[in-house]
Amino acid sequence: MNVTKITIFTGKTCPKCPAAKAVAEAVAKEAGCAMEVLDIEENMIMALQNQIASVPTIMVNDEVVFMSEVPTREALLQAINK
Amino acid sequence: MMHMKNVPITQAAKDVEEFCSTDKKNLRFWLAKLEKYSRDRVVGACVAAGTKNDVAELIADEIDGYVDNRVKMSDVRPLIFALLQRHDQNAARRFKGSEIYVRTSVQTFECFDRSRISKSLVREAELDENMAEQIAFEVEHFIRTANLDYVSSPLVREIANVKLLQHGLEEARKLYTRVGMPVWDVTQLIEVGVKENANLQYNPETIHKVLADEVIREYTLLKFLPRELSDAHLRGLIHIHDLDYFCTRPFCFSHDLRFFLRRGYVADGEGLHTATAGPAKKAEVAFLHSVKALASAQVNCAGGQGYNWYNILLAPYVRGLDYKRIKQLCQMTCFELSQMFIARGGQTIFSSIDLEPDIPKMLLDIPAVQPGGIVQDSITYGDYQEETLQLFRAFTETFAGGDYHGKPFNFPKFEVKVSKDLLKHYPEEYRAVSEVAAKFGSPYYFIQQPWMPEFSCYQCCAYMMPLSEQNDQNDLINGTVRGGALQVVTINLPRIAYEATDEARMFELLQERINLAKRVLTIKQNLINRRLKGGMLPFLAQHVDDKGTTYLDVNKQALEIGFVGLNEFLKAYAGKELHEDKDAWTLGLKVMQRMRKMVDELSAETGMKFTLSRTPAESCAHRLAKIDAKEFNGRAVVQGSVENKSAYYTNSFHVRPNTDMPLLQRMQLEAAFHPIVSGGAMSHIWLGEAQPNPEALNKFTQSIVEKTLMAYFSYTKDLTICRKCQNTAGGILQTCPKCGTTEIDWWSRITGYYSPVKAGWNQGKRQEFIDRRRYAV
Repeated sequence: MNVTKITIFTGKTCPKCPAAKAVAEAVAKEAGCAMEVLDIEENMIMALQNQIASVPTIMVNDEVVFMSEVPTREALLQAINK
Repeated sequence: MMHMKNVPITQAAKDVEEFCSTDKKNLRFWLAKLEKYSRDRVVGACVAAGTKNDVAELIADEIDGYVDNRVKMSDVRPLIFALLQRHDQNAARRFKGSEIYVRTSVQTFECFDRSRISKSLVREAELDENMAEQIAFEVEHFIRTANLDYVSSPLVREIANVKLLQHGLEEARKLYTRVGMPVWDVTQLIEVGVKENANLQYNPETIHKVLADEVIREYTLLKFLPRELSDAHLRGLIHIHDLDYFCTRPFCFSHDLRFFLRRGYVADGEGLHTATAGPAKKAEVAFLHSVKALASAQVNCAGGQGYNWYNILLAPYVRGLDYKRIKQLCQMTCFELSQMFIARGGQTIFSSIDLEPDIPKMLLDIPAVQPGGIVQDSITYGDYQEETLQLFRAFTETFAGGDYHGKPFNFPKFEVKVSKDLLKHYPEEYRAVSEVAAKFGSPYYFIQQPWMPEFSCYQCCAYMMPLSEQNDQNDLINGTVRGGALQVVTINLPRIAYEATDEARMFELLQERINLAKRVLTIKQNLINRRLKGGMLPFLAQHVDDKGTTYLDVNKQALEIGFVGLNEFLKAYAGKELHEDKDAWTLGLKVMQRMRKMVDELSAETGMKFTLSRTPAESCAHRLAKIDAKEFNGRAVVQGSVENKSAYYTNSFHVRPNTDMPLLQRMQLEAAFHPIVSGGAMSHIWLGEAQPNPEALNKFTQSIVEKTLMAYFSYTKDLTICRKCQNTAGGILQTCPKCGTTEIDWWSRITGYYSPVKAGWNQGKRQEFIDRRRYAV
């Protein structure tokens, strides 16, 4: 079975990103997911191809689950288990 | 010896004898000795002496009764003189003399004067006096020895230009030449009409417009732009849009209606040529002022004119009115904007109204402009939610109803703001908008995405106005949130692929082309600053404050750098089209990203507002493809057919029009480019059903909003409009389903607006119309 992967796109000057990243990291640890943090400026083309242009944005596998917002731990867990 | 026919010449008046005795001193006599008699030459000689055509014909007829072609023209000169004496003594005097008479451009008939040529050469062509004298002498010599029947000022100038070229004075020739149109072209224009612009009807105003356009376009390329830039346009490296307006007008403008509601409406901007109106006190007047202000602005601008927050800013004026009355006002606006057939040489005003059901946060606490232009701190736009929504509904219903015959309004453009939240809170309103889309395709959806500037709007042919950058909080409070673009230059992307040998060269060429665009746009910005100060744009020169700030703030306007044919670029450069694999898509995004970076760097270096935009490319997608197909024969990648003269490039970053792929995937592929293109982007959904399901469109709109980065799109429904009974039917039909006639036209969205296909689209666009992959949503 493939491991669920959480990808979070963040920005260097984004005020909400540290909080979103902290939630994502905590949830990834708790749920045993793979985790990747990507800077949107450095990975712009990949972001655009996933229909992402704002941060913080969290993907679970190939699906965008939260865009431009900081999810709660519960909401992110729910998105993973969907 | 004269060979007479039956009728002998009996009149030998004294003055004819005198004429005969002196004529041998005249060069014309000796030139006439070399020519055989002909009736036409007699007509020519009489006309050259300045008599009217009918008199010349009368004289020629009479002489033709006396002589035949065995005589020389010199032999009939006394006869011509005698008859001119009888019919037109002034012409006889001119005939007798050795002077050349010139038909001047100020509609007079004057004696040739060589010094006028030399003086004009010094003044206009910047020659020194000696050279000017020399050229003038050569011109006179040519005219006299050519024994011309018809000498006019334009002809004298043409001869002078040839002499300048013979002396190697090419730059002087450029300064001295005339601009205009060949007689053949003018005849074609008057007798047949023009098909370059889908907005142009065949009527006297448009003929004058095209004549004027030709002159200005030629003048711009010849005199105004440096040769390198003109040539870059002519060779197809770049396309300078609206050359006919380059020298005189800025491009598009998004207005703040509050400026006119507070101060009243001054149609000419000065109040000297027109009546001046104070601030509107009644709803009807406010709506009419809003319409007329766009008409006035169009007199000063080349491109689209529009209002952001249209229903919100008019909301205070409809307070207390019942819904029926509100709808009447909306109908009046749509009829006025689609019926005033007066702009830019007999066209409708290119107008847009931006509507949204809710009041955005930034306006909630802004004091509202109320009837009479009154502003009180205690009453803000946040107090007018109900009226805002009523106007939104009433406009939607008005667009759904269409005109008297049920035909859609092609203007004003129905711009609807949409977002995830708005869709959630106003489901009924957006369902109604979807019904208009299903019926006519009219709405343009502007999606306020998280990545976009805080406040912006889409107008004209889908340019995004970055209002946040062009205005500040004071403008928001004072009612002067305005913006627009000064000029558009499009880069021919496929050409770069044909010329590039490797990636480094490709990006080098891209930078070179952007630099060309920058030079054109810089000239334009300086020029419009000059025009504004020089008094040529009085409507836009109105002051917005007591510091003398003009309504058009030139240096804040966007300078648009566009592009065409990314798809063909990728095919030519990497061998794959945009939709064919992920690598092509990635390369396309990489190229666009680099372009955006180059454009942003230009802005940072210069402090000017360069933006990357998708251009509508109605003309240039066809023009550039035609040029490239010829120049890069066999290597050029074009759509359509070169043989049938229907070659075209795919617009901007779009997927090739006839690509067959799932619709949402197509939208996502294109949507990835929207955030890169800061000056505005647009994607199209071409509907294939005659009766699309509004509910399905509504759901698909939701998918686009939620699952893509799309900023702006529309559903285009092809319509068949009957020329006889004016019935509108969905789809591309050959006959009118109501009256059965074959006299129909097809209406569709050319790029940024609806227009009749048969009547106005160029061959490239017509081919694209055929090629479009239409979807059932």
